[in-house]
Amino acid sequence: MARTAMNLVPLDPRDLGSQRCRLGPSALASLGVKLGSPVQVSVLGGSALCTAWPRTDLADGFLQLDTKCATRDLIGKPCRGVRVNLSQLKAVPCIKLRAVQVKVIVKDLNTKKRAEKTQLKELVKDLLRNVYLCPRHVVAVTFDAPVAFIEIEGVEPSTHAAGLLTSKTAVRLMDIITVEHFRSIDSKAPSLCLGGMDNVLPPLKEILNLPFHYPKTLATLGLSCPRGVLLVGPPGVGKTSLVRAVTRQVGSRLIGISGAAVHGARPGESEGNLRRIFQQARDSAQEGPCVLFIDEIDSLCPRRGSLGNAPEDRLVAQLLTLMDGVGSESQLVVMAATNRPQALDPALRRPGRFDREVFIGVPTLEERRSILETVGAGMPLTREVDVPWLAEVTSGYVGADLVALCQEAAMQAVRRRCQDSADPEIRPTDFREALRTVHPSSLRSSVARIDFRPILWETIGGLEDVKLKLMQCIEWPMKFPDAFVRMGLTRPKGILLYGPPGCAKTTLVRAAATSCGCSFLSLSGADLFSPFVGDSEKILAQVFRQARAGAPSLLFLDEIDSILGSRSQDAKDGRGVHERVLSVLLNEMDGIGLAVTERRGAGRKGPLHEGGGQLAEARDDAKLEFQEVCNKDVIVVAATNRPDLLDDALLRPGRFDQIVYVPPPDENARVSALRIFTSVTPLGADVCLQELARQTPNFSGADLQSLCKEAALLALQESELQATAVNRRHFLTSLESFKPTLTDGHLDFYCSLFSSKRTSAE
Amino acid sequence: MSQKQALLDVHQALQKSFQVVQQQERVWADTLAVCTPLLSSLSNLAEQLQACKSLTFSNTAFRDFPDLESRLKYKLNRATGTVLEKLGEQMNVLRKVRDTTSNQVAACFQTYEQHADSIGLTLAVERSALSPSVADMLEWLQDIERLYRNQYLSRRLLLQSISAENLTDIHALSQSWGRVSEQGDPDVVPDILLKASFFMETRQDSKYCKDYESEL
Repeated sequence: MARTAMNLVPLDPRDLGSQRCRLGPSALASLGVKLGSPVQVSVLGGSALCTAWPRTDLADGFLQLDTKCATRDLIGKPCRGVRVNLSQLKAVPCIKLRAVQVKVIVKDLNTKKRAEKTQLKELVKDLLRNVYLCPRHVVAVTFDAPVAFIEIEGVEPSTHAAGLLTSKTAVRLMDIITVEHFRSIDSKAPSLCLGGMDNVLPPLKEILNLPFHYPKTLATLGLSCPRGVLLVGPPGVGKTSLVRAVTRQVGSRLIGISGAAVHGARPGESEGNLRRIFQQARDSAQEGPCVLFIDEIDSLCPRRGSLGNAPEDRLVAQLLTLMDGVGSESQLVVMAATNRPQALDPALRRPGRFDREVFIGVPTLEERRSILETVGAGMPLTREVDVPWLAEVTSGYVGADLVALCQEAAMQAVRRRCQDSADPEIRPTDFREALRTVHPSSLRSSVARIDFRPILWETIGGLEDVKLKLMQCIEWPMKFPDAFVRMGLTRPKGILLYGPPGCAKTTLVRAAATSCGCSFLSLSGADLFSPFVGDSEKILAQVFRQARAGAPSLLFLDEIDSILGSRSQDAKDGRGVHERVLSVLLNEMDGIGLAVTERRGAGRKGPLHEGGGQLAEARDDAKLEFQEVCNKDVIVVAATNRPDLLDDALLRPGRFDQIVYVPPPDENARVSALRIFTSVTPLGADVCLQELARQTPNFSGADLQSLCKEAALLALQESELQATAVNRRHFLTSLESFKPTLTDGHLDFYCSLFSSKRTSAE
Repeated sequence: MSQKQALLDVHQALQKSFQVVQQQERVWADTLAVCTPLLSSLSNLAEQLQACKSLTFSNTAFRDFPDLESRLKYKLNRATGTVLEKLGEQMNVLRKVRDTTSNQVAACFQTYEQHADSIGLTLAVERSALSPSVADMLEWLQDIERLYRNQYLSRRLLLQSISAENLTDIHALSQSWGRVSEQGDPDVVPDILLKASFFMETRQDSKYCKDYESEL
């Protein structure tokens, strides 16, 4: 019985160039071929045309293959290590060819320039003698010759069978290209799918394609297409991948430089390297469209004269000269990517050098969804994975972060699979785990990042109206954006929580951040102030920039009265830095507009659907659009005990719109607070929380917590660390020695503040 | 046609091919041997030409002979031309060897194709003490033909690439020529002939046996 699966083993060196494939005798018998008849073998993603021969050892179960005539994918691939089924081999008939059209691939550019057509035709005819040919296959030349490959473009009579070249066959040379060009145009390579780049990709493709496809039109119109494109954007957003995707889609060659590779040790070496690379690019641009990609150009080309660094300046000058030489007669386009456009020499950014500048910002919600869909297309996701929800919670994530997120989720699935051997499908829980590990890179280097334990609204007792107010301001615009747009409302920019100390202001903000799921930044005085003049303002401006990049985000300024002063109240000199920080904050909260480099999204898209389309999806997309409209901004939440110390300009509507008084807890609130604080403490049977609440007027939340701790400690002390429960008398004993921090005087102060603010507004 | 008869026909064709190959191999080797001194004289001439070009005759003792330089160069160029012509002739001989071998091998294959169905695959790969299998022998013939073809092509490309201006190439020609002979396995043809020698001898003997059998 013949075994139908064969192992693919390497070829005998004797057989190199013989176009033979060696099979076992039973395989030959099953195929029903004679010795030396052509056979098509489909393996490793391509197919090879060979002649069938028996193996020298006449063993079955092995296959050796000579890829003299094979499709492009098999060239250079080592043919081994795979199992091949007999069904992958097919005997093909053989005919004599009348004419054949070939593309000759020569070894280097000099040969191409010096080649004579007739001589080349003779050479090709000699090389193809006695070789079985098939259209769209490439014949490799195994010995030393100026021709490296011959690609068969078409045969006459046109057939899928194997053809044999005779002395009467006519050979037509369609094209001559070099080996590098041939290798770089990998037409069957999978095109890179990039999500979220729909606005940026078509213009770039146009820049590359137009001069190649319509040179005469452009010449008559007197147009010269832009020769240089500068891609600007934060790191990880997809600039390098974009260039690769565009070149693959257009089918042009990509030559890359990075700044570090160009620099040399000896004086003048870097300039020489640069000239050489540009010459290489120009040479290959003569054969087809070519893109020269300079990555991180700000390291190669900083501002001249900034540091007085003469070698750097020379390199910059060399690059400027070379870029001027990239004329419109060659098909060379120079693309560059950078994160810091302000560090580039301004002479580089004028028309004639880098004409076009493309900003790629942090992806918006739509773009994030598109990226996630693209990345997740190749992964086995279960049906429960909700991509729109993922896109919502990953605000501030760039493309690289999203890819890392998916990879981390896959790793979680693999870890889970190791424990129980089920199919590794990625579930929503994997994504939630991954979200904890992968943080947005724009916020990673932030001063203001803070890790906090999530808190639910329910863990805060009482304070229902305050909670409602916070929910209205923070959560509702995100959850019901259409309602807000319908009523013409915008999101409040700032919320000020004030009240006596220890009344759960910070906890409330933590609960708000947990529930709404936007990025949370928290800044305190210690982070902000620095001994260098101007540093604090820079830090604050940077934090705001990062918050905007990761919008929607919540910026929490705790104890804001210690960070900012008031311009009207103190005229002392020592408060200079406070005034400056205050001015920065005022400008950021209510400033004039976004810097150009902070633009996100690229304008409204056209109608999303071309007629018809599912209604539900249309509503979903419309919802996403609404969310885009409402969520652009940052909400600043501030907490303070001394609102009277704040500047009036801060407290006006438009900056801190909502000023919320957080009162000390009333009786019900105290009961729920006590319940929460004693949830982990074992209580005696006689403890009644309502009674305790009644006996503790004016106690703030912090006071109650401290009281519970005191009672527990007392219980331990009395029983010499043997206690198992805290009894009522422990509570009463600690109550006697406990004084509340809040007095009526304090409360009057706050209430009067409240009312005076009201009167001032009226 | 019976299997045995078909096999006999194919064996006869193979035997004839091997004899032809044997003759052609001798011609090939002889031609290559003739080429070697031609190549060395060519490189010699090239060296002389190079020396001639780099020398300014007016600075030497030969300045009294006014047209010495041009006459010397003319003579050298003519000699180079003659040697190249002779090389061309040898290349023609090689080409004839290649063509003869090709035709013979093609004829042999054709005979096999005609009888392939009668012989069947099993018999074609069967090796015996007296003769190698048909598949093996066909393979050897193909290898020989491919070798001749490739080598001839390489040498022709070499000769085409040099020109009278490029003297350094001519200088290196003999080395490149030697490299071509080393391409692949230089002993392929003698090896194959050795392997097939027993087969050729036994066929010749059995030819008499067959006649004897048919007489009986």
